[in-house]
Amino acid sequence: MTYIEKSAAASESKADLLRRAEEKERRKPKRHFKFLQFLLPGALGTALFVLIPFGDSLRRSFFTDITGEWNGLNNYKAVFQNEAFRLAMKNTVLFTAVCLPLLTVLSFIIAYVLSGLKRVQLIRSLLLFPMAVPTATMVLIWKVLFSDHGYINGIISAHGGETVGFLGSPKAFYLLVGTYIWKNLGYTVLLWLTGINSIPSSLCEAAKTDGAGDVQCLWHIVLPNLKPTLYTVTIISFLNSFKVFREAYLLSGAYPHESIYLMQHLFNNWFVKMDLGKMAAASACIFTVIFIAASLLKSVWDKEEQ
Amino acid sequence: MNKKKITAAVMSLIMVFSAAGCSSKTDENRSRELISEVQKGRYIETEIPGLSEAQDGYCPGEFIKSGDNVSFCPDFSNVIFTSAGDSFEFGINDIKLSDECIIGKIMRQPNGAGAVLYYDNMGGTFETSDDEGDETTVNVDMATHFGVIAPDGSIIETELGGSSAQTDGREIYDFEVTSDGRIFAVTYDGTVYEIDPSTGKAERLTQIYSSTPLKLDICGKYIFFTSGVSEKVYVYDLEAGSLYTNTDVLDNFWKNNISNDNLGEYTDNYDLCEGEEGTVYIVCLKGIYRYVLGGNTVEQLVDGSCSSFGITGSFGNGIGYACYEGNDSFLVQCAENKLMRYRFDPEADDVTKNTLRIFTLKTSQELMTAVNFYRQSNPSVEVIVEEGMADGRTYEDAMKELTTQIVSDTPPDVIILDDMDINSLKEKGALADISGDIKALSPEGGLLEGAALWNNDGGLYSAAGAFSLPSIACDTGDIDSIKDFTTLADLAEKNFDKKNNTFALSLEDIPQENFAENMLLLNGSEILDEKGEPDTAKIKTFYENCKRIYDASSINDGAMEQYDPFRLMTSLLTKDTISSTMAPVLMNDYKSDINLLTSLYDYKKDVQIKYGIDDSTHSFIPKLNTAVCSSAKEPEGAKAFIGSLLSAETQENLSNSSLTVNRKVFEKNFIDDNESVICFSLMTDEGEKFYEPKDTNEAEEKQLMDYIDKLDTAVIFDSQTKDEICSCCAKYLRGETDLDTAVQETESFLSLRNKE
Repeated sequence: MTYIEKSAAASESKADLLRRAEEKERRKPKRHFKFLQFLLPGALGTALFVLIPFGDSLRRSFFTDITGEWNGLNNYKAVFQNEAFRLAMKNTVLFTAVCLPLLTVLSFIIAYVLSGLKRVQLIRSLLLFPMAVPTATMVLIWKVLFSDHGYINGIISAHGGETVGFLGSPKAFYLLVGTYIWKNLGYTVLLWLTGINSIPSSLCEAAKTDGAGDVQCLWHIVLPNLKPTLYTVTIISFLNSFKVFREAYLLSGAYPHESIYLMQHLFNNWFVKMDLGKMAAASACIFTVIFIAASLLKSVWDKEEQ
Repeated sequence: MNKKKITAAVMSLIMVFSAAGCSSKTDENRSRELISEVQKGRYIETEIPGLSEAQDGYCPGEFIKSGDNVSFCPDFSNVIFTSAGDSFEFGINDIKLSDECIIGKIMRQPNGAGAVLYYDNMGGTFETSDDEGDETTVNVDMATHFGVIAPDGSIIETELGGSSAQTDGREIYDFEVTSDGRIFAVTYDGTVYEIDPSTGKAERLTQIYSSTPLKLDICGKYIFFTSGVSEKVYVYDLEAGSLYTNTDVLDNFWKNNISNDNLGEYTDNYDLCEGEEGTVYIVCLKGIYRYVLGGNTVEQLVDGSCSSFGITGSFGNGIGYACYEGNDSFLVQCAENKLMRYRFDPEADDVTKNTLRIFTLKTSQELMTAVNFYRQSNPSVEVIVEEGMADGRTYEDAMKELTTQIVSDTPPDVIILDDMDINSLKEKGALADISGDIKALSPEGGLLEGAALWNNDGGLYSAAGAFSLPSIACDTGDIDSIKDFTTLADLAEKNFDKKNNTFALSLEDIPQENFAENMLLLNGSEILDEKGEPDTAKIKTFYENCKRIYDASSINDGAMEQYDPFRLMTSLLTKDTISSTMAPVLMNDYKSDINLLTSLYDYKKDVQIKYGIDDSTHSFIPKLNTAVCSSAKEPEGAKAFIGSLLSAETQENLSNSSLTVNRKVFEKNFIDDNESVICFSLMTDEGEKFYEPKDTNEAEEKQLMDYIDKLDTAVIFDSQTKDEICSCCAKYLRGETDLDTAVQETESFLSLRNKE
């Protein structure tokens, strides 16, 4: 092949390449469009039921409750000066701070013990039982047990002791913590079990061959491999800790003992009293806090991954 | 190809648009025509004069239809109404019955024949005094009688055999005469008889087993057995001689519209009338309905909420008897002895142009009366009353519903503020300021402003339609020692010790919550701070005093009556067997409360009454607090509703059950026309004695009017606060918690609320 022929062939292949590239480019938007088609229903739902209401809520935080007049930052000021908001915030943070580590550690210990058992499958279905019990039923049982004239107080007074006001005293907080742990323990144990079972047994076996003990295996092999599970457990438990309001509300109503007065109580009561401006401002604040917390958690996680 | 496609698309679009344009135009015209056709025709209400003149008090006369003519005889007199003449005439013979007898029901044909159910008076020992003060005592046994009436007015009594005691169930409870003169009757135990109209002899037909006595109505070949408190309608087929079983639709209608009607405790506010073959017309407070036996739907013909029969009058009766005259026309005996005709007019305009939405936590008889009067003067306005706490919904549910409506821009026009957190609604700007309109809305003669316009702090945010007064009746020697709730409790304890466990109040069957609620209403002003909110520091004293009165009152004399917490202790006050009287009373109306108490002075000279418990205030409990929603769609309609509520006509009707805010109506009822229509009884050592009520004297009138003119403290609690206080207080009264715990629980609730 002569030089001219070679260069002609080269320029032809270049043209081919260019054509191909152009064709690729032309195809690109089509792929985007198809992708959007699948995304659209979800995006519409999120926009309609989450983003737009949130936007409206954000807008309301700058206006008066009913008359809709411009109110500047007064609603935010009112929220931060509001004693009930501070109390609810404190209780919610305290509740999460107590429950989250407690549930995580307790469920991990149980899961680790269970992972060593041979017939763990049988126990799995039992672990989900508390999740299957309807909240109303559970609250009824709790009331039978813990109310002023309940079963436990009956036993105490039968033995000459003084009855305990479980629901109308600071003990209500521990009752709520117990409720949360009871309800979420099984599910969290299952999450841990799944994580533990996904670690190849060969890793531990190899370590043991090299002389590692059980504790070393746990510390150096199991725990590092459970980081993704820890992330899932933390997020789910954190979100579930907000759902405990249902139990608190059904147990003690809209105005429970101060120790279990949670953020949702406040929101519920503000809605009843038409304090919409304060509600909107408070929700914007809480969103910011949760968003920052979740972002921090995510960034820490991403760092670890790298 | 593409060009063709585009052209085709453009052409089709043009065609579609032009077709749509044409069709929308024709459809619009057509729909307008249709609407105007549909909008034509409705039942027109007219009053037939004469019944109130012919009959004073409850009218026991039921209609009889014979051919095209409908007749009824209002009472024992020789007056009879005939629809042919459309008037009351003297045309028949008086029935031969003693004046002492009370007629329960009477049906007479134009020739005077018929049947009557009557009682030998009310029974008991009656003591009456004449103008000179001479007293006479009459002992009367109460017994029910039933007989057929001959055209000459003579009565042949029907004997059902055995004892006539009502408890045996053998007494006749209801009867009806058919258009062809046959008479059917039902006893208390549900046994159905056919009565021979000439001899009065009874022939047993069947027995309907029901836990409540049944009313009887005959429609063609069917006899309907109903009760205002039962959900079941029994239908007996006279030709088949058995019960008709396909009554599910009717049962369902009965349950939803009559037996579950929570408008009042009076349950006989309905009647069934015979229509064309197989058709029955049901007339109840909610309207006139048509049902064809075996059909799937019950159709409303007349809306009760804008008709005279939808209003209950004295003693709760809204509907006496009703009859279908034929040709789309009904006759209905309404409250206050009005005889109304409802006739279909095909040319009448039936357009409801506007809608007025009223939001209330709970409906009440008073509210429905106000709605009814408003609708009568505004027939083109459809009024929708939304009851927030209906069907077991809580206060929270109701308020959330209201908030949702306001936020979503579908607010109610009128808000009835009773039991709501009024201050909160005011602060949020949910209520419109009506101070500029109140002058135009006020009735001639003015208002009792202290009671009606109490919600006034720079702006006026509601007008109350009625009110109650806290008061106390006790021995003359003790009345001056009562300065506040604490001195009242001191007196209760003193009397308890002195009288050796004999005391006026008995709380044997009263739930502690109700006792606490009544005490709260009576003394609520004492626990409120300057802002009108409950003061936690004063709660303790309140609970303590409640307990002292409760303990002092908790005697068990074994003869106490059932007690209605909303007519607080009025019945107990009338007990004469006790030497010491002390009754905190909530004055709710003129006839049953104020008149009863003031009449009592004449019989128990040593009893005195004091309005308000706390000397430092002139408290009252406002009711029917009516506000215009600030974002109302029909603000003018809402204001017109307030105007209608305060008008003399509505207020006059409210005066049956409430103290009214219209000054003219108040003075008329209390000063000019204060005589109670019922007698009252006192328990004595010789048994129950009946007394006739007396007029109030000038001193009594002055005492009340002086208090009314100084009203300054409205006792209002929202439902949540009231429930919390009453629940904590009740726990303490029952001994379930100690005082400190009860106070602590209430404080915890109030402090959280205040923090919010």
